[in-house]
Amino acid sequence: MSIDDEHSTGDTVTAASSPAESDANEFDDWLGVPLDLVRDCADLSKHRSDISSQSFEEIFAAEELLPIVTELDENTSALLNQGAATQVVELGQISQVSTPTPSSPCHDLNPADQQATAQDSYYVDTLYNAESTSETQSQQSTSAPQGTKPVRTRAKRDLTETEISCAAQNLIQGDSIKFFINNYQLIHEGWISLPTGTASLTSTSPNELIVAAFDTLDNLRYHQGITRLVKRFAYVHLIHAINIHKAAARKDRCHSHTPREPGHGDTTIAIDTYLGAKGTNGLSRAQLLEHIRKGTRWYILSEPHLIMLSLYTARAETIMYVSPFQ
Amino acid sequence: MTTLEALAAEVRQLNPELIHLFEKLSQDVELSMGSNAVHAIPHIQSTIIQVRDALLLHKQHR
Repeated sequence: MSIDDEHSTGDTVTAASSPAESDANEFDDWLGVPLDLVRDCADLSKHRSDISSQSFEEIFAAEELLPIVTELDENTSALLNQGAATQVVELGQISQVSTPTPSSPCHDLNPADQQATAQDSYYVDTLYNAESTSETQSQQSTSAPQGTKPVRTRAKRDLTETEISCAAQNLIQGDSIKFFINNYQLIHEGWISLPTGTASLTSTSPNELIVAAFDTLDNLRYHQGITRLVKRFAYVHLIHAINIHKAAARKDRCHSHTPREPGHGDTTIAIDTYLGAKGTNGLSRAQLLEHIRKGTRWYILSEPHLIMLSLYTARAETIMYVSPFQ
Repeated sequence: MTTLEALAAEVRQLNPELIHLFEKLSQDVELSMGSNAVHAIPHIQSTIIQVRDALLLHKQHR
């Protein structure tokens, strides 16, 4: 059975008839949840936005592209005071000024937001004033108008609330009820991998657990018909295993059983544990780090319940391939 | 809060009822795990099929 993320044909599914179909009242209090709650929550399509085909790689890349004004020049201040169509984003205490992309409705701000953010823009982090680079100086000489201050063009900013909302709409399945019906078997198969893992938590040492979690992820590459959802479960399981290993390492450290070199955190210890057990027959350190990075991202998205992973579209996969170091 | 955390929070805000449904499902499954998780597997399957049937029923009546 293949998972059908965004092009599921739920209406054509003919699931095996069940006793439930002959008795509608049987599910009126299913798991303590009234049926009308199921009815209300089933459809996410109203939240779904088809206006953007951006991948998250592109969305996150946009965080890097907007210019930062290290000190508000007279022209910028005048624009802000006039309420011009200028988007100002606060990052900590750093003020940033950018021009919105006309084609993207996610960049629209209402006048109240513009005024509020414009007021925020006057809190300028003086640290950035001292960090002007040769790159920014050269760009200033070619593009900045006379009288403006140095501009950093590759500074990072957070997405605005509006952009977050827009991006989140592209994260979710259009029709969660149809998706669940079509893929319940896969959800079950993915989910039972965790109880199996949970059983091993009680019977396996943290070191063995780490090795097994990495190996599980690695082995998924060789399985036919492995779906995105099963991989998502495996990534989250890896983070669970690492957390258990971290707790054990922390306990060990507190009791000073193991001397630790400076710069060796719990994650490093976990990776060393795997490399020590597998030697050159296993994954490389870079591959392990990459697994942990992706797993951490899936772990965040899976909160508070693992089954949340089934909500996310194929487009959510693109989040995992965006390196924070680019 | 990182961008990813903000995105996850936004997704949770989109439909609180659905999250509540998932919460009930998760609690039922986690409770069934108990001390011997492997034995909970049939129960998980049964619970998920229950959910599927409830949702199918809803689709037919809609």
